[in-house]
Amino acid sequence: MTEYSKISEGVLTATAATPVFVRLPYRPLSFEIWNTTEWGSSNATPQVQYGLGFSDEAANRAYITRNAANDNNVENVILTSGGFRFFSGGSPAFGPTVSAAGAVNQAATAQVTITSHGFVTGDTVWLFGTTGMLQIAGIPYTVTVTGANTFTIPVDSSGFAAAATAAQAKLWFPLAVPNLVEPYQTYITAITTGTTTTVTTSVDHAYVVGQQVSFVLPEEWGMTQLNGLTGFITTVGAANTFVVDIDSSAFTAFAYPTSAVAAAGVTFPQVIPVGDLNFGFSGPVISEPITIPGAFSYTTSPGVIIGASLLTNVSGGGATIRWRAEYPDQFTDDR
Amino acid sequence: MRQAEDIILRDYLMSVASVYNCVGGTNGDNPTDLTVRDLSAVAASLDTANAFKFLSGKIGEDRFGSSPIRSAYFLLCSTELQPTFDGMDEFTSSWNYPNQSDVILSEYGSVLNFRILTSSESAVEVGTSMNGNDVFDNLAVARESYAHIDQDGYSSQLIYRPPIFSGPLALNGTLGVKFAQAQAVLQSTWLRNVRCTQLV
Repeated sequence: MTEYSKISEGVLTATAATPVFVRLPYRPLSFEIWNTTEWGSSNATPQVQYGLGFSDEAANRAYITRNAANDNNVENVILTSGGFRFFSGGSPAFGPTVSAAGAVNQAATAQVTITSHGFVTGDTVWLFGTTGMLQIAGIPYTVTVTGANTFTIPVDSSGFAAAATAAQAKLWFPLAVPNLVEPYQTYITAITTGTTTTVTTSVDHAYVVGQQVSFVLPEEWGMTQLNGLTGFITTVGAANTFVVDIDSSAFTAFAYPTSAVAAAGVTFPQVIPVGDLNFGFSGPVISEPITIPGAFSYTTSPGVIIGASLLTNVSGGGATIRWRAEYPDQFTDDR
Repeated sequence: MRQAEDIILRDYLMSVASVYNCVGGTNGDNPTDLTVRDLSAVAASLDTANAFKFLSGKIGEDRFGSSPIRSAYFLLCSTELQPTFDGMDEFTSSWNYPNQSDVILSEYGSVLNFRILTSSESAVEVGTSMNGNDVFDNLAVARESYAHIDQDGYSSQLIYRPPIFSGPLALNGTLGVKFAQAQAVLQSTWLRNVRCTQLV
């Protein structure tokens, strides 16, 4: 009987090494891909031609078939990073904790060193346990991967008293798919004062020009004049910066508290969005015929992320990926 | 039943509410464990924003072990925090209210200006505190701070298909709920995500 099985298929164009999120109405048990562009490749760089993942196994694991270097004979390989990740959607979900002995340096763009972290650029990662630099611990960051053991976060740690030791991190899934709703609350890591105010957020904010936002600035972070103010976004710069129409020329400078102050407990500075299609919207491309003042859009979804290691495209121009997801009626585990 | 609607609302409020990290506790984490001082600070911030309380107070009655209850906002918490409340000096169990006239099924008790509603479905951010401990998202909400709007003129619909209509062998029935809803924050200053860790 297969009356309740769920099977979905599709095709997409993928850029090499750029993860793709496939939205599904359910969390499948298995997910397969076929790279029809690189099928039969004999390139010196092995091209993944087939991949298979299971949601009841470790995240990022994949069983792949790829060509051997300079040969179109295939070899079967198990990937443990950059493979498939399965999501249920909705509730917050976290990956495993990586490292108990990581480090964060003192630099204009702080670099985190954690051996074999397994993250990819754009992942949302919670940092914690950063001994000596606790003012950055306990909030999520959008990371830029700079190596297998390093990534940066949008924090200027150059003025901090000491580098961090014992740093730990874990992946946060909601922002990877992306957040549960849009627009969403974000934490602030930097503010530049002026006739307009430039704000840097710890995660990519997804706000748009015209978005109305308000600010929460606890006293430990300076610039208390901004606390409770509301403004409109006039410019969106990088994915984690925006300019708001608030004249902060005379405000006290934004400053991180010391690690010791943070250790005693602090609330982090935040941006609170005002929901409403009238105030800007960057959600999924869907028809929104009705505007409800103050409404937010629920954007999370179950599905699968096809990881960077699965998407190869030596031919260029984008690889055609055919995919197939399945949730069976019956799954028997006799192990 | 209707669990999905509740979880969607919970996730929505978690994503958009301003965050207050508890600082009054003694467990050395950030946020700290939840204390009376934190709840007092949050209640004061809601009062300062002129928020509406959900329930009026309960006047004291001549019953052993009971005490008057303040007018209150709601604090939506995890059942795992019930021991924390039991250890608070200002906590009054719902069974020690002067009467049971408006006690909600999930109501665990009251602290200062909060009536505490607990649920196993309350959000927990696993291992994300400063020290890597679980963080509990407790939503402090005032009346009319947010709205749940049914769309298309209907609330949730229960749909049941008996087994005979679901397969030739009549082996499985189908039970489902469908609904269309939207959420809106009506006043963002009347809403707080009070984050805390456990006292260990």
